[in-house]
Parts: sequence; C-alpha cells; structure tokens
Amino acid sequence: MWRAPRRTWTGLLGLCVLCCCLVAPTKAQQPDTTSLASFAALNNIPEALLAEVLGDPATINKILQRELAKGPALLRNLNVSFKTFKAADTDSITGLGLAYSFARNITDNQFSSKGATQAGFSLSLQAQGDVAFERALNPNDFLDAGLRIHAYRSAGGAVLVTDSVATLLNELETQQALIEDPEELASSPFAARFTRIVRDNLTPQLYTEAALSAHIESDQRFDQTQYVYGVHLGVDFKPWNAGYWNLADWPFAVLRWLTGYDRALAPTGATFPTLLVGVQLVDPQGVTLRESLGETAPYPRFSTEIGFKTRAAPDLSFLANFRYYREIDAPASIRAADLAEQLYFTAALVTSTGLFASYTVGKLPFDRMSDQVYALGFKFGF
Amino acid sequence: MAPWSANHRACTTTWTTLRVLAQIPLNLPFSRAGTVTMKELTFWNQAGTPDLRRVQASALAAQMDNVFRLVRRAQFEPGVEPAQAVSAIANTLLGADNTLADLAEVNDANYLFWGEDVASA
Repeated sequence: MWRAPRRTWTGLLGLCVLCCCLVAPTKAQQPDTTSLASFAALNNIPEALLAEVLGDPATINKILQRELAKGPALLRNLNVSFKTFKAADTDSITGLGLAYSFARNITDNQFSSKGATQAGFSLSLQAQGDVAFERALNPNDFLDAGLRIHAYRSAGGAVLVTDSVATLLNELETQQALIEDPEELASSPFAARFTRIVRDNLTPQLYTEAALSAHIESDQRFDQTQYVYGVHLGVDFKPWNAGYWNLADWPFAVLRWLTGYDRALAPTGATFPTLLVGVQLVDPQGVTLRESLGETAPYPRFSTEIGFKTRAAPDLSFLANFRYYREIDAPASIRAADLAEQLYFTAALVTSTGLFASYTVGKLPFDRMSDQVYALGFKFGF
Repeated sequence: MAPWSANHRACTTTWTTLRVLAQIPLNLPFSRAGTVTMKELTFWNQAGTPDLRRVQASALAAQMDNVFRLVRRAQFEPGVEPAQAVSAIANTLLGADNTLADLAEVNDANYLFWGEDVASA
C-alpha cells in the first residue's frame, strides 16, 4: 500500500531551510524577517500560499539545489533523498531519514579503441547509505564508501554508416526538433524513419569490467564497521536491436502497449538487467554480534547484485534490485547465528515527480531487522 | 544552465540518441527535453548500489560514443582523447540532477558532429 509522506515534516523542514536562507535586512528600520508571517508580509505574498509552497518537497529541493550549486562541481554527483519508514506491523509512519549516493570516475585511460570496441581502465569513488534521524528505526542501517580501480571492455553496439546516411540523419533530426506537440512527434514520419535507420545500425553491446576495490561498510553511527577488499566482475549486456531477448521487460512491454505509451508491443533491449558478482575479504571492526561469537578474524565473502528498471506506463517506471551476500566457509557459530548470508530485494514504482512507493524484504550486513518495510518518500537532488 | 537550442547539433543529437536508446520517451519534444535530469533516464535505478549504477552509466556512455562516432559520423574535437570523451559522458550521467542540456554541453566540448566544422563548432 502506498501512503504519501507527512506534509508537516516537510513543512517544518522547509521553514528551517527558509530561515537559514533569509538575507539580513538592509532597510534602516530592520524589519522582522524571522517569522513566516512577517516574511510573507514583507514580500507581499499570501501567508497561506507561502506555507503551502514550502510544504511541497519540490520547493525544498529547489532551495537546496540553488544553494549547493554554489559549491564544488563534485557535489553534482551527490544525490540525497529524504525517506520515511513504516514497519509492517504498524499503520503509521515510524521514522524519518535520508538516503544518499555518490559515484564519480576520477581518472580514465583507454588503451584500445577500434570501431565499436573500447578497452581501458579507470579509478572511481563511490558512497551510499541510509541514515535515520532516529537510528533504531532504520531498517536499512548500512553505509558504504570506497575506492575502485576498473579495467573495462565494451564490444559491439553500432556499425559504421556511409556519408549519405549520416547526412540524411542530420536532415531528419533537424525536422524532428521543430515539432512541439508530443502526439505529432510520435506520429511524425521524420521521427519514424530516423529511429528505424539508427536502430537498424545498432548491434548488441557487451560491457564488462573487472575491478579491485577497497571500501568501508558501517552502520550510521560507525559503531560497527568492516573494511572490505575485493574483486568484482560487472556485466551489462544490451541487445539494442533485439529487445525480445529481454524476458524481464515483456510484462512491462504489454503494459506500455495497453496504456498507449508504446504504439507496438516491443520489449526493449535497453533495460536488460545488469549483473555484479564479487568476492571480498571482509575485516570486521567492532561488529557486536561477531565479537560475541569470538569470530573477529577477516573472512571471505561472495556477493552478487542484479538491477533492473524499465518504463511501465506514461510517467511511471518500475525498478528492482536484488543483492546476496554469503560468507565462504563460515564457521558453525556464524551459521547458527544466521550471519553467514544476507539476501535483500527491493522493488519500487517511481514517477517523474520523484514520489515513489517501494517494497523491501530481507536485510543487508549489520541490519538487526529483517522485517518487511515499506519505504516511502520523496527525492531531492544535489 | 547550458544553452539548449535546436540550432545546436550537439543538443539535437544528444536528444535523438537518448530517445533511440530508450532513455527518454520517443514522444518527448526537443523543446521540453533540455531540463530532463539524469535520474529521470531509464538507466538510473535508485535502488541499486553506486557500483551498479556506475557500470550502467559507463556502458551507456560507451554506447552513446558508438552512436556518435559510427552512426552519426562525429569525430573527436582536436586534442580530445577517446577515453576523455567517454568518461565525461559517464560522469555527467552519474550526476542525478545534471540535465540533458548539461550533457549536450559536455558532448559539444568533446565531439565535432557531422556537418559541423572546427570554426563553427
């Protein structure tokens, strides 16, 4: 069941942000700008309207984006979203918090490039986590930050066209760009011919990478931490011209066709699931449960992740993520305490406004709860 | 914000490429596409780890480069290395609130599109 977040939380947060952004008065009389009413009066804005606007998550997002756009360019890769948490056995929202994620390539070097085949290596920084303002209510109490070196190879994807085809595509593109109406664009012969020509020259692409990594996993207070050193293999296969291979997209292709989002029943190769598989050496520090069992030595762990996202209908997308962690050759005490493996699955519906509803089952490392949780919330980007 | 114009080949090619690669709807007019953010693209899965999203962004960046060079016959701007161009696309894709206009600006800096010359690029 989907439930909208409490507007009182966002309203109070919006008021706090607004108060922080108020400029010192320049008039000799020093008017009071510390209250919503006085600020509204000073700017000739109806107070009720101002309160409603500040209660809108999009307003808070715009304020934060404006202020943080003044910071380093690196912040553009930082994404923050506020979340509310609701446990399965209650009817009310039980906690407020935020989720963050960051990923950026620091350097990139290519040692091979021929046609549609490229190979090289890069260095990247990544971080992500869920933080609850009341820690005990966080069912996904897990932070992760790390440095990775990747060797990658991308093979296939497109073939070379002739000069005349390139010129024709430019002309068709110019005609399409002049169309303002979505219905007219959807039925435009220029758009149809352009799309057909380009897709006829696409081929399946296989992107693979092998990475060495070093990162830290912890709970939000850093009471329990793990240093993780590992290798992983990433595989992203996209049958750009053969969407029927994408079995996961068939149900959503039917939905898109029935809702009129697509004019034909056409699964897309663009959403073929992505796979990560890895083996890590985990060095736990202050992990309470493992310490109580006398198991504090570093241990090997297998992990895998599969991600999938596709359009389901106009202004609606479906996404899913599955993760599995398993300690290799875990001692009997670890297995008996149910610490040897963790399985985590989440699925969500997302709209363009950022409002979403999701369903999550399972647990991540460090979690003490494996309850089913509906994570509701709204998104703000930096 | 970077300029978004139908007279700018980098903008229109970025727009059509993302449409053909199913990252934005086929019926999204050019005039409305410039403000679409990276987190609204099909590849962006906020339920995934940054590791997974980086793999997806890197793969998409490589494919955008394939389309630019092979299907649209673009070349790299003088002094631009292939890895630099692809990495710039990937990094832009990984910024949740970067827009298509931002991505087009990055592409304009790294690619000389078919029909452009060095003087007018």
